[in-house]
Amino acid sequence: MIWNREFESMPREDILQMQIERLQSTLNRAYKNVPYYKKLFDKHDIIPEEVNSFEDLRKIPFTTKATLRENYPYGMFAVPLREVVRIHSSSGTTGKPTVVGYTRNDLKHWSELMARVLAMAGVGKDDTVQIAFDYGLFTGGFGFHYGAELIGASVVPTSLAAPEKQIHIMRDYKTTTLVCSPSFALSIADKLRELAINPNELTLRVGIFGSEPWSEKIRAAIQSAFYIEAYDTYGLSEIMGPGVASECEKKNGLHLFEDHYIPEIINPDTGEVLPMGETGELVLTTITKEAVPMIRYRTGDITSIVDAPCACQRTCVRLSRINNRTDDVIIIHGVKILPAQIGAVLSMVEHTQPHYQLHIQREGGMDALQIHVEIAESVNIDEVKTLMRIQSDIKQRIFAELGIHVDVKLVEPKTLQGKGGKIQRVIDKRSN
Amino acid sequence: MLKVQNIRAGYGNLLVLKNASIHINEGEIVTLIGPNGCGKSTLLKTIVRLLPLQHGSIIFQGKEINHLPPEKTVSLGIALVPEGRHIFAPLSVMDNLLLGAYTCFNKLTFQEDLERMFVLFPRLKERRKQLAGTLSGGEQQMLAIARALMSRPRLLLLDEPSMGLAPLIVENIFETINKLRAEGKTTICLVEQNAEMALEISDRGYVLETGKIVYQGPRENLIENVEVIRAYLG
Repeated sequence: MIWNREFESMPREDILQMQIERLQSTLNRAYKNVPYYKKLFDKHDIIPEEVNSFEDLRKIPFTTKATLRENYPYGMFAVPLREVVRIHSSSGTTGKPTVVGYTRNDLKHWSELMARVLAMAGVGKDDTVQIAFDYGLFTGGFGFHYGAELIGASVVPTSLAAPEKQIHIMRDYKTTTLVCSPSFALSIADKLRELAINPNELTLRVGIFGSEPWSEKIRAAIQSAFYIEAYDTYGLSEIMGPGVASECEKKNGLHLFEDHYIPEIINPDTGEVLPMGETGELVLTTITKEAVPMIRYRTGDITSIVDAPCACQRTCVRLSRINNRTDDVIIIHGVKILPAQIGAVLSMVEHTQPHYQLHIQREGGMDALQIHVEIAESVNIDEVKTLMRIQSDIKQRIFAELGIHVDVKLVEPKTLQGKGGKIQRVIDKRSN
Repeated sequence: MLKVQNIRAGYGNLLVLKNASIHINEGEIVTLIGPNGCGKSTLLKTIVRLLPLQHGSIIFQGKEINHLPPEKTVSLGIALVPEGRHIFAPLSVMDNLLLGAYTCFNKLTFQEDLERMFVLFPRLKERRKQLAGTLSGGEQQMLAIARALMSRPRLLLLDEPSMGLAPLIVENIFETINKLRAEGKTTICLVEQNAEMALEISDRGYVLETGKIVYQGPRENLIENVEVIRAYLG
């Protein structure tokens, strides 16, 4: 189901023309109205009206999370506060929150994009959408709420109610679509098993999950727990909130809404722009945002872009599923490790859950990595032999895959999740 | 239908249009708004190649027209109704219309087109033998539009059609523009100081300021933003 065929299936050539037009007016506005960008452009001799192409865009330095913090709270706003009708702040997954604002038109665009996200997953006006994202400063709840209302679905804003309550509402209100973070979906799934409720008692058919990277193993776990199709969605509050890119029914990458954003993939170490198809850090420029335009914002998310046409007839480029962040790289004994690599190894181990946490500390001048892994509920915690076998299995596999020795601690199910169902993936206790 | 990419243009050493990229889709009415001297008229004159292009490209129906002389752009199907009308004052209304059809003259179609003009602008029929210079301002504007339409344009560029006219006449002109759209034969690009009125009948718009495009969007977004544009952009 395509919500807005005119824009989602626009010929590539027309997309590029529209992007250039919108980019140019965004640069002109940012230069005029955002002191930070004016100073930046002047310092680097960038004249906004001389930006004629995407190559010219590359001359502009990146905007980072640090830039937003330095200009906290309203320094990046391009319109006076009286034009701003909403203020949100980032989820603060990786540090101090940052502030973003929306004009009336921004909110209108956001609703439109979220309607596209829902339609992509096959959600329509006959659906009942249960939104189990936090409604508050975090953008997830409101974003999906607007989109679901726009397509005319029935919205149940459960927010972060406890899993048991979510299940009761889901069953009694005949929810067809669940929207939340993948880890919260797993918590609900655990509760479902605990309450011995047969997924067939539910009317769920679709789930859209985002706000944190999640693996195919988690997808499979969610799909089989609820008997649903699970789709990945991507966004970040600095750019819009949810509604940046999302999976269609083909599940082969996340369509990025190119009429609102220009994506680039860079080498995170050198800042060099990489050719189409290569993996690197995603950099986004907003081209319709009025309140807080972002020019070349480094997302910290590792992905790649393909522009090959998709069987769903959408013409916008696709992001590969994001499973790493640039700032999650941990270095142990000089070895660079991404938590997702460990996640991948763990997914091959039996009797464990896809929930893990990395604890890093320095012992006697040496870095030590301890992995906390939740064991499957089927495992009897008192069976020491089994536990030791699982433990050594994990150690051996990680050494074989990554070449490092790690310590493994098995923990009971559901002990790693913090508030909101998010797992803090890395706990680094090394000073500096 | 029309794609304008990174164009710069001006008069002599004076660069008025610093950089503009716009596109117009078939069947649309697109409005360019902005304060005096922002480059709106310059943009139109550059599209019909009356002004030299200093940078960029203009693509009409897939064909680059950068190097074409103005008369060729007319035969390709672009017609400009210039600011201030510029009708041929010493000639009759009929002769003005005949000159409008100069690039595509054909007895049969001329009669047909003439009838169409007289339906669109009944006043011109009444005054067909009168000298154009003796018409009222509103009638002259109607004549200027009719003259442009006689060349059977695919794309009609209208430069300040409401300038200097009484509100009632302006309404009349805008009604005619709406009729043209309803006919579905002509795509229209409109330059107007009267932003609210122009946006009313437009699909999309671009806002220019000091030779650059600072805002663009569908009509609803621009209407939402007219206040903002007035206060902070233009």
